Amino acid sequence: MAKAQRVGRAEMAASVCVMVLSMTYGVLVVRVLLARRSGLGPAAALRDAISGGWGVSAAMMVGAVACAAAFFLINRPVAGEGISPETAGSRQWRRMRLFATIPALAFILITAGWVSFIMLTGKDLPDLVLIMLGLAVFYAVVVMVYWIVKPTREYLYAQGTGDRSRIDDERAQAVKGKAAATTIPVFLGVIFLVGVPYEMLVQGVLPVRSYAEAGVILLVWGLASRHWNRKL
Amino acid sequence: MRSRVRELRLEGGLTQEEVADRVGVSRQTIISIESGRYNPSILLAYKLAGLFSESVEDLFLLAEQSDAEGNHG
Repeated sequence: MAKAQRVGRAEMAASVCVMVLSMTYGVLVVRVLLARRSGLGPAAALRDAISGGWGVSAAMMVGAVACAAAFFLINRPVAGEGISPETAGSRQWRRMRLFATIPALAFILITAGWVSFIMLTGKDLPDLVLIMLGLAVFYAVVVMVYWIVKPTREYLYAQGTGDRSRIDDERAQAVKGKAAATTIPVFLGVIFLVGVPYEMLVQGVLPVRSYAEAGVILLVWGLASRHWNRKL
Repeated sequence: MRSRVRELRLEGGLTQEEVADRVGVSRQTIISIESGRYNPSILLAYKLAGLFSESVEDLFLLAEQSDAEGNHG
């Protein structure tokens, strides 16, 4: 159990890092885009985004870290303290659902309020609001999935113990491998049949980006195949 | 590959969930093995054989092998 809990916490710490990075990365991308549009050069736009000139970036980062801290504190495996793994997992899952719902709803309400205010005052919607609308839709879907799709018993067990061996058993790993093997050729097909013609015909540029994307995919695929060939 | 997992599970009065718990996999894996869509690893085959107190050879049969046994029987 101790090992399972350590694994569970390591995974949790990793997911918190991913969450914080994804939130701050999104904010930084928007800030850089807006700064570039206002006429700043790439380096100046990057500095402006990181410096938090408008306070949005800094506030989001602080918020993300606070959310991550709360997540880390409340979401920890508790099985073995007199309750079954599934019951513990169910509690964890409800906490996670709450953790996802509260900030998502707050974000959706703020966005809706902002959009309503702009529309009522008859102003044009700025780019930032459009991006926030997109994020709000994404958060709404996440929250809906959390409230509609019930977790499986194996998932609750993993949540309660940190032991993911049942939801990531040999068949699940085989499914992942097959899915990846199906996804990669499809991705490459889309890049070459859609991305390359789009860059050349619509944008009128050399398809450097599409070729770079295909190259990175093939490189990672090759390195991963080499790694697993040695390991298995 | 044909397996006798379903047959032995029902004989033992076990649910798919119970079998999955005892060998440490998901219920979906047991469903897939029973329906013949998934061939388990040697490790899982041994765990299942141990659970039903059978040998691996008696639990999992190659299609031709099971046909031949059926014809002889």
